[in-house]
Amino acid sequence: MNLTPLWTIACNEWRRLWHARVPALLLTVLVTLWLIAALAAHHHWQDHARTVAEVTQRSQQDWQSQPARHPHRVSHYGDFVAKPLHPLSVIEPGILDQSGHLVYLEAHRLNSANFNPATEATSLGRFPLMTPAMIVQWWMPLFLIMMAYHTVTAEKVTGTLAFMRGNGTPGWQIAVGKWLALFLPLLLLLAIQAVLTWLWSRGSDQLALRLTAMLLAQIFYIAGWCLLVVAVSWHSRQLHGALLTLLLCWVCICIIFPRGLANLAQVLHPTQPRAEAEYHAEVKLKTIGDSHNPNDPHFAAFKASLLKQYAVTRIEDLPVNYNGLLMQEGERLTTEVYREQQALHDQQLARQNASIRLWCWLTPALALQYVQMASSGNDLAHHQAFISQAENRRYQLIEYLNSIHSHKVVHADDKNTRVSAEFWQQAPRPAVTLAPMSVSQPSLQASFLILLGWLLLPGAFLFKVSQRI
Amino acid sequence: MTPLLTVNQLSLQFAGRPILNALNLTVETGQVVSVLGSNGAGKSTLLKSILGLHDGRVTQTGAIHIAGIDLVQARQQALSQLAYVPEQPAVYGHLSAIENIRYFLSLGAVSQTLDITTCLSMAGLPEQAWQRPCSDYSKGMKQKVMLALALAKQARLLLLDEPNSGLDPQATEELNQLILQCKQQGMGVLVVTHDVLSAMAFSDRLLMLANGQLSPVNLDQQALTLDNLKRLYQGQL
Repeated sequence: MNLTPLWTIACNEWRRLWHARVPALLLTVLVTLWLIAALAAHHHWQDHARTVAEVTQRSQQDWQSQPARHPHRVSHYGDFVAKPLHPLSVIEPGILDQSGHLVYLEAHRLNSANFNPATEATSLGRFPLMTPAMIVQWWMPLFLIMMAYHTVTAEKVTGTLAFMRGNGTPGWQIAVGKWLALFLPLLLLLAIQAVLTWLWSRGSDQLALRLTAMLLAQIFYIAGWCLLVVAVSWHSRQLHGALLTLLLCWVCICIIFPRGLANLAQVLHPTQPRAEAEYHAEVKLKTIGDSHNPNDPHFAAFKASLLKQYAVTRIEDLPVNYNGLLMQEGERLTTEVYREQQALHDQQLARQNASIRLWCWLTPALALQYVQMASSGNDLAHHQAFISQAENRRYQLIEYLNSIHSHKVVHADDKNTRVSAEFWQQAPRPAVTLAPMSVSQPSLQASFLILLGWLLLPGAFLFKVSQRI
Repeated sequence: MTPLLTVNQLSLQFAGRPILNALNLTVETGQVVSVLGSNGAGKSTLLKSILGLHDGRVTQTGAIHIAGIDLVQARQQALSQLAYVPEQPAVYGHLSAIENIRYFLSLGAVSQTLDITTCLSMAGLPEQAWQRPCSDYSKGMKQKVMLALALAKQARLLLLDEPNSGLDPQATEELNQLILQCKQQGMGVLVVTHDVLSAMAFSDRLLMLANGQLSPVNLDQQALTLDNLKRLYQGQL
């Protein structure tokens, strides 16, 4: 296949756009917007990263510098854990702002971040912060439309299209040449962004995989938009017709469908508000057992089984501290109930996401957003993995403290006993790490399928319309 | 010798409405054929058929050969034999005459081309205009660019759609001379026009398209009166 005519058409299109001045101006504005977004997002990310570093350091310092104390007091002293941020968060902060990235870990509770309603933010409620991802997702297609809606329509109006066709240039050559002219400069911008991101985030977790996925998704998305712009421009008889049709496509794909799908998912599968979830947990805990009530059947049975196990008749005769064991049992029950609530919340979100994925083919913008969020580690799956790791750390820590309470504190002098600080320093506090990208596999697979379909659909449309004048 | 253009039993329908009806036409080497016809008679449709520009909405039967090459079987090869000048000269305003010709030549499957500046000279475009963007050109100048392209392409058949519309008398005269020059170089020329006077000046054969068919026009310049013209277009002459 002779590629020279394609290149010739693309070069001529660049000259035409350059000569028209407005497209060049629009491209300059787009690049400027992009730079502003990158700087703003970088500043925002640095704020997050600084908070994470400070909180992690202070939490570690405070924990280590605790004096000799009663273990139960230590369990309520608590521990902060921060979600590790991937440098790609500069490109796409995802649900980070809504979900939060700090969790306070303490005994008997799964704290607020776990039930933060903002974790439901699968919608595009991110207008305030302009990010490079948003530029690619929203502004780049809009600027592309404004720059190139007339790419073929103008040739129809001036007669150059009919002239080229009449002189033997096949329609597909003109279509591909035009597409290349629109796509290559945008590809260059995406590649520059990827290279710069690579350079400054070298050595970060799964960088090659995450960056490749993000770049591929962006390339598919923009390539599809370029196909659509050329196809609609070819299909339209008049310039304003091409512009209006493309603007309508943009509004539907970038605004109405993503917003509508997210809102519809929230209506169809509503998530439980935090206060309601906590209320249900409290009610359930009361029905299971109240450790402070000596007549509570569950804890009465627990006490009886302990006495039987150690073959004693009084708790004072137990070789371990009964209060510590009571705490352990109480923690087991509360954790079970709170984890149930968390699982219920996760299920509701999963149903919302499944509902969105079902109709996601309507809008490649949402598919791109899913990939960008998954790549930067700021999607729902990564957040849930973080919450799960934080909860495991909390449970291990409280179990350790309760175990010390049971074995290092004498029951007779429980309230006045202080345990050495060495024990807090040795406490298990496993590091919370960024979940691997595989946690987002279902949404990644669905999104890439949609993006491939997004390439095929306008591609087929362009192939069809390019057969005619 | 094989005719440069053979249209054989060409019938064409658009949305069920017949436009051309078993039409036959030949253009020989060094021959200028002009097709007259009232508005909507199908003159431009005939040119579109020869260029293979109709889409699926049009039903077309019959055969078209350009320099003996079947248009359906070898479209690109057939079209490389001809040059087409539309009613509105299709040049890019941001390119100069030389750049326009270079661009269109590079798109066509043309093996050998003439020197562009020589062709521009032959077409009569003033040299000082060659490097200027075509957005500054008049219609006549743009047509000269297109004719220079046809010359550079060494096309054997030239198709002109309403070449004189919008041209002043001097530009019309220059264009007529150019058409005759092409004829002298051995090109076949098919002109679709309303300008009967010009057509009579450069044509070897004058045809009238009416009811989807072509018929010869036998009219000499002395008989060219307004009444006769009306009768000619009404098919009464």
